[in-house]
Amino acid sequence: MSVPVIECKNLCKSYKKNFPVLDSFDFSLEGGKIMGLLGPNGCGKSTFLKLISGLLIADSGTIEICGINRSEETNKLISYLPERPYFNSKMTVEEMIRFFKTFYDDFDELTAYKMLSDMSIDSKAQLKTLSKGTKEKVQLILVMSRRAKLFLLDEPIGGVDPAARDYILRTIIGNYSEDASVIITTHLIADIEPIIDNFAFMKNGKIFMSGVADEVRENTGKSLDVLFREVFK
Amino acid sequence: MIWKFETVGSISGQIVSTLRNKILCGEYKIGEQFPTVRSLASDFAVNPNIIQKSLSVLEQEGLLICKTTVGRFVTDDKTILEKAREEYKKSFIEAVLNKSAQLGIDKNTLIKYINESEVLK
Repeated sequence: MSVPVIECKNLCKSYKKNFPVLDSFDFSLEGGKIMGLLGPNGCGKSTFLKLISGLLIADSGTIEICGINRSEETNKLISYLPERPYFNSKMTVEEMIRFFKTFYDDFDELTAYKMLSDMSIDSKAQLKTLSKGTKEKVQLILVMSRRAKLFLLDEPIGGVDPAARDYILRTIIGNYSEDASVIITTHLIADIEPIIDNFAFMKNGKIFMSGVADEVRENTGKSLDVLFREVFK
Repeated sequence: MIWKFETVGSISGQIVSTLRNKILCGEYKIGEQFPTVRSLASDFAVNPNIIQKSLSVLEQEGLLICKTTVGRFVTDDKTILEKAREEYKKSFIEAVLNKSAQLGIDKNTLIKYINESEVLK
C-alpha cells in the first residue's frame, strides 16, 4: 500500500493546562480520498486542521504529510481553508489572485478565473464590498485552485446559499486530483454525505467512530446525519 | 441541481438502481459508450469512488462492459439485456401487487382498475 497522504500519531494539544483539546489523537488518510471530520462544537476539529497546517504546534505527537515530517516543506503540499477569512479587505479579487499566484507555485490562475465567472463574481470588486457568502466563495475558489496534495477545508459550506453549496461541493469533487486528499469539517452532514469516502466522528479530542461512509449507510440502514444525531444526543 | 438521495440505504446502491433503470429503459442504448466516472460524479454530485463502486456492480451484472483504455459500454448482448429487463419488470409488478395487498385491494378490483386505465394499451 502507498504512503498515506497524512498520518498523525498520539497528537496532544491543550490551550490550558489539564484541558486537552486533542487527547492522544491518531489519524490517517490515504491518497484520493475525501474525509468528513464531524463533531460537535469545540471537539477539536479546527485545532486539528491548524496543527496540520502549522498554525499551531502540538504539545506532543507526530504529523507526517506524504511521509515527510510536518515542516515548511510540507506546507507547500497543503491547501488550507480557515474557518474565518484572513484577507485584507481593501484588496480586490484580482489582487488576491495575483497574491496567491506569487505565493504558491502550484496555483492555477485559469481555474480560479473560470470558477469566478461560473459563480458570476466580479474580479474587480474590493473584498470589503462583497457579502459574507461571496467572500467565502472567493476564499474557497483560491484554495481549490491549487494543485495541492492535501486540502483542509474548515466549514467550507457554512455561510453560502444552497445553490452555491451545490456548486462548491461539485467544485471539491471535480478539482482534486486522483492522488490528492481532502479533509472537510462541517455541521451540514447531510449535504456532504454523498461526496465523502470516509468519515470520523470526533468527541472530546478523540475519534469516537470512523469508517467508510457508504458502508455504514449500507450496514446500519441509516444516513450519517441520522447516526450523528443518535451518537451525539 | 444536486441529486437528492434517500436517507436510507447506501448511496452507491441508489446510483446502481438509477443507472440500471436508465439502461433497461433504453436511455443508454445497447452497445453505446457509457459516460465517464468523472462526468457521472459531477452529474450526481457524488464522490468518484462511489461511482466506481456502482459501475463495478453493473459490470458484474453484465449490463456494462469495461474495455481497457477505451471506457465502459452498455453490453451489446441482447439476451443479457432482455433477461435483466424481464427480471426488472417482474420485480416491479410484484412490488405493485404487494402494495395492493397492503392497501386491501382485491384481485377483481385491481383487474377493474387495469381495464379502466388508459395508460396501458
